[in-house]
Amino acid sequence: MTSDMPLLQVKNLEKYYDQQAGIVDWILRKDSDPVQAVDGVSFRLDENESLGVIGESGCGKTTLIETLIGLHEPTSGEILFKGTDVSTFDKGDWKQFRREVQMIFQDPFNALDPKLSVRETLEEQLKIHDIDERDRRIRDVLEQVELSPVDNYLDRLPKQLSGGQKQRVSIARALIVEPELILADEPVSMLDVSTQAAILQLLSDLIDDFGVSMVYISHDLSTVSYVCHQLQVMYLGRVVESGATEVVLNEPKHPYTRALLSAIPIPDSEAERERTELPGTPGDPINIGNGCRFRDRCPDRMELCDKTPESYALSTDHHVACHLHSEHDDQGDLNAVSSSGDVANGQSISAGEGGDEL
Amino acid sequence: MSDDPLLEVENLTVQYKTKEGMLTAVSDASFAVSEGEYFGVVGESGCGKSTLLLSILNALDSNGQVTNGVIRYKGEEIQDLSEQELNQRIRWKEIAYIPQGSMNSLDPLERISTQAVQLAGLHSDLNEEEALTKFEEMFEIVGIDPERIHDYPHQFSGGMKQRAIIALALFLEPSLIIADEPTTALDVIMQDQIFKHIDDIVDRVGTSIMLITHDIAVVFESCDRMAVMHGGQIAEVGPVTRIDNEPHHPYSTLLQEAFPDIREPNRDLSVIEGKPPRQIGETDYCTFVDRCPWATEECREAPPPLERAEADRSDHFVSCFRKDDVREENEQGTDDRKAPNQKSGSLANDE
Amino acid sequence: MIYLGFISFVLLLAVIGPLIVPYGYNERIYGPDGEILFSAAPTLAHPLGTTDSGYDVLSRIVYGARPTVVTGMVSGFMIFSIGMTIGVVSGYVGGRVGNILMRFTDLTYSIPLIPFALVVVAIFGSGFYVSIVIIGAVLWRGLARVIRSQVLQIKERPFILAAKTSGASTPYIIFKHVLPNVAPMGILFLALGTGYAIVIQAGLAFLGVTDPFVPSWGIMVRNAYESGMMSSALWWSLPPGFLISITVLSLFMLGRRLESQITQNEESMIAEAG
Repeated sequence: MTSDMPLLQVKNLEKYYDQQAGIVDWILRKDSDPVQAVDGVSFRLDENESLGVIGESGCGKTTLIETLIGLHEPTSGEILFKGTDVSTFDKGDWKQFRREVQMIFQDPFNALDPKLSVRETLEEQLKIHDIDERDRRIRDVLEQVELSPVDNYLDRLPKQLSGGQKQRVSIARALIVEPELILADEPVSMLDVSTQAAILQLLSDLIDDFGVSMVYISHDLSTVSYVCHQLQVMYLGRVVESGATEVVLNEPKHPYTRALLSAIPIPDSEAERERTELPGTPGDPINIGNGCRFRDRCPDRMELCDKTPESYALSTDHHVACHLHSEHDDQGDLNAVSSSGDVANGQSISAGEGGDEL
Repeated sequence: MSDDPLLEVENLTVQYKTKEGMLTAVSDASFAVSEGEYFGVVGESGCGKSTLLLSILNALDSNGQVTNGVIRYKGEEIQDLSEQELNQRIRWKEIAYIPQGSMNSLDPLERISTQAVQLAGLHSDLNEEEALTKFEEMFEIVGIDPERIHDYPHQFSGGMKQRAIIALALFLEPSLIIADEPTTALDVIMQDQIFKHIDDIVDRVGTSIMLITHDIAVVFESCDRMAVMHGGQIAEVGPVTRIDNEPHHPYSTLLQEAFPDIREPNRDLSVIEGKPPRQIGETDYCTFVDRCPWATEECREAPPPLERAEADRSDHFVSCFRKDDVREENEQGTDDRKAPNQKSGSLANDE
Repeated sequence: MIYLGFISFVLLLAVIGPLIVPYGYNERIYGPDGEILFSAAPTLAHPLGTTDSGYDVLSRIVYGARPTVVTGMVSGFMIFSIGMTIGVVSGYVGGRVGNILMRFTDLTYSIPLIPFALVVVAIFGSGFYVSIVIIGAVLWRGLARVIRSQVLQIKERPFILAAKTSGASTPYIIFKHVLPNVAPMGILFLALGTGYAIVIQAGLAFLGVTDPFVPSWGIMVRNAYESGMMSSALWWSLPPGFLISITVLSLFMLGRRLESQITQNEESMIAEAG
C-alpha cells in the first residue's frame, strides 16, 4: 500500500430506498418515488484521521454509515477500502473487512445482548475471527476502556452496568479485534453529561494513541471538536459543507451550518444568544427534484437556489455547496456579503410563525 | 411578580416501596417557585427530578408516596388532595403538564380540538363552544393557524405537534406549567424552536414554568432561578446567574465543567465518576459523597442541611458541609481538590 | 408452588404409577361372593369404587396419568419445535420465505381443530398417537405468531446489528442472540399449549376419536358417560374430570408465573435504564 492511498474513499455514493408501497398503490400499479437517503456523498479518510458527519435526524447520516459497513447495497457510487472497491469483495475479503472495520452504536442500552456477560460479548468477536489468547486480550481491552479492576466486570450482565459502562463495553467489543476503522453512531448522545466527557476522551485517545481512524456521526456540533479532525455537514442526503473542524466551527459558510451552530444552547447565564430563526423541519428526501434542498427553510434564499448548487472550494480545506459562495455569480456574492456578518440573521422571515405547515 | 410563592415544596421526602425496602427518591427537598417565574430543575438520570415532578402533580406510581413534607400551591397544601379535587380544581386549570416525549402524547385517533374539549369538560366549566374559541386563541399564541384545531395529530409536523401540546397546556390558563424534558431526543434546531415558544409564553402570558431537564445550558440560558438535584437531595437552589458564576456545591461546579461549550471547543471537560446512588431507607448522608473530590468523613455522617450560601443572601441556598472551602477554591482558581476516590479503586460508587 | 408440586406428582404417577397400583387397569374385580363387582360404590378396598366393567377406578386413574403426560409431552414438543422454527425463521429471515411461512400459519388458523380431527381419524383410523399428532400439528400456530413478532423486534436491536457487522453468520446470530432472547416467551407458550393440548386430547377421547383401549382420563369420562351412569356413579365420572382440570390449571398458572417473571425482568431492566 502506498502511503498516500486513503484508508477509506467514498465516491459519489447514492443510496435510494423504495418506499413501502401500500396495497392501493400496488393495485393502481403506481410506482412510488424512492427515498433519496444518501445522494452523492464523496469523501476520503486517511489513516489515523477522524471525520465527523453532522446533521439532524433524517439527513441520511445513519444510512451513510450503514451503507459504509455493508449493511446496505449502495444504489450507485463507489466505496474503496484500502484502495479496493468493496463491491468486488469475495467472502474472505468481507470477513477481513468485518474485522478491520468496527461499529459503535448510539444506544448503549440496546447495543449489548442482555443475555451475555461482558466476557461472552467480547469473546464472541474473538471466536468469529479466530483469534487466540482470548483471556489476555479481553483483560487488556477492558483495561484500555478503563473498566478496572477487570475481574469486577467480566461476569456482569448488561443490566448490571451503568450507561457509561455499557458504552465502554461496546467500545471494547469494537477494539478487541484491533480494527483500523471505527464507525461511531452518536456514541455519547444518550449518556449523561457526567460520563460524556470520559467517552469522548476515550474515543479521541483511540485515534491519537492507537492509530485508529474514525467516522463519527452526530447531530450535536458541541462535542465533535473533541473527536473529529474533519467535518461534513449533511442535509437531506447531501453534503452542504465540509472542512477542517476548527474552520467549519469558526467560519461556517452554509446557512444550514450556521443555523445548527446558532441553535446550540450556551451554558452561560449571561450569554445573549438569539433563538433560531429557522422555521420548520427538514421534510423527507422524496421527489424533491432539483435545487438546493435547504432552500425552503433558508433565510438567504435566492432565485438561483432552484438550481442545484455545486460544491465550491473556499480553500483547500473548506468546501461549501451554496450559491451564496459561488464566485462566478454576482448576485450570490452580494448576498454573501449581506449575510456574512450575523449568524442566521433571518430578518426576511417573520420569526417562523406558522411558517412550517407542511 | 408577587412575593408569595406560587408553589412551595417544603422538606419533601418521597419513597417507593420495593422488594429491598423503601427506596428514597426525593429526600428533604425544599424550594419555591414564584408567580411568573421560569424555574429550572437540573440533574442527571437517577437524581430524583422526575419523582419530584410526579409528586407535585400527584401522579406517583402506586408504590410511591410522599412520606414527609408538604407541597403548597397558592398557600394550600395539595399533597393529600383526592383525585376528584385535583381534577376539579388543580390539574390543567392551575398546574398543566408537558410530558417527556410530548410529541407522542397526543391521541392519534382524536382531533386535537376534541382532545381540548375533553380536557375542558373534565377540568373546567367551559362549554364546547367556549372551549373551542379559547383553544383557537391558544393556537394563535403558539403560532399555528387557528383553523387547524380540528386537524388530527398526524396532519401536523413534529414541531407543530409540540406547539399543539404547548397550546393544550396553556389552554385552561394555568398559573404553572411543568415541562419534563420537553426536548429530549430532539435535534438542536427543533429544541431551539420549542424553547423559543416557551420563552414567548413566559413573556406574553406570564405563566410560571418549571422546566425539568438534564441540560444545564438550557437552564442557564432561559430560566430565572434553578435547583440542582443529586441523589434525591437538592444540592443548590438560587438565581441562575448565581449558580452559574458562584456555584457553592461541588456538583454544580463539576456539572458546569462537564458541559461542552461551543464557544470553547477545546476546553477540557470534567468527568464525574459513578452515578447517583440508589438509596434504600432514609438518606442520612450526602448522596454526592462518593463522587465528590471535596468529600470528608463528615459528609457520610449526616445529610447536609440546605442553608444560605452566604449569610447576607436570602435567595441562594446550598447543602454542602464544605461549601465555604469549595467556594474559596473556585474563586482562587486553584485546583487542589484531591482525586476522586474512584481512582483509588473503590467500586461501590460505580453502581 | 402448589401447581409445580401437582405437576410433579402427575409426572411421578406417570413414571411409577403402573408399578404401585394394586390392580391392572383391565383387571376384573371380584367380590367376596365370587361375583364381579360391577359399578360398586367406594369401599375401603376400592376407595373410588369400580366401573360398570368391574375395573378398579383408582387403579385406572393412576394408569391414566401416563397417557396424559405423554399427550402433554408429545404435543408440547411439537408445538414448541414447529412454532419456534417457523416463528424464528419467518421473523428473522423475513422476505418471501417469511411471508410463505406466515401465510401457512394463517392457514392453520382456519382449521377448526375438532372437525379436522374427526376427518383425519376417518382417514387414518382412530388411535391415541394420531390424536396427539393432530393436536401438535395445529396448535403451534399461536406460538409461531408470538415468537415471530418478538423476533421482529429483537432483530432491529443494535446488538444484532453489532453481531452482523462483526461478521457473524445468520445461524450463529439466530442460535446465539435471537433464541436465548425469545426463549422465555417460547417457554410460556409451551406451558399454555401443553395444557390446552391435554384438554383437547381429553375432548377428542370423549368424542371417541382416539384409541378406546388406552386408559386415559378422557376415555374414563367417556366410558362413564356411555354407561349412562354419569350422575349415579359419581365416584367414577368425577375424579378423572377433576384431574384433567387441575392438571391443565396448574400448567396455565405455571405459565402465568413465568410470564410475570419475564415482565418483571424487563421492567427492572427499564428501571435500570431510566
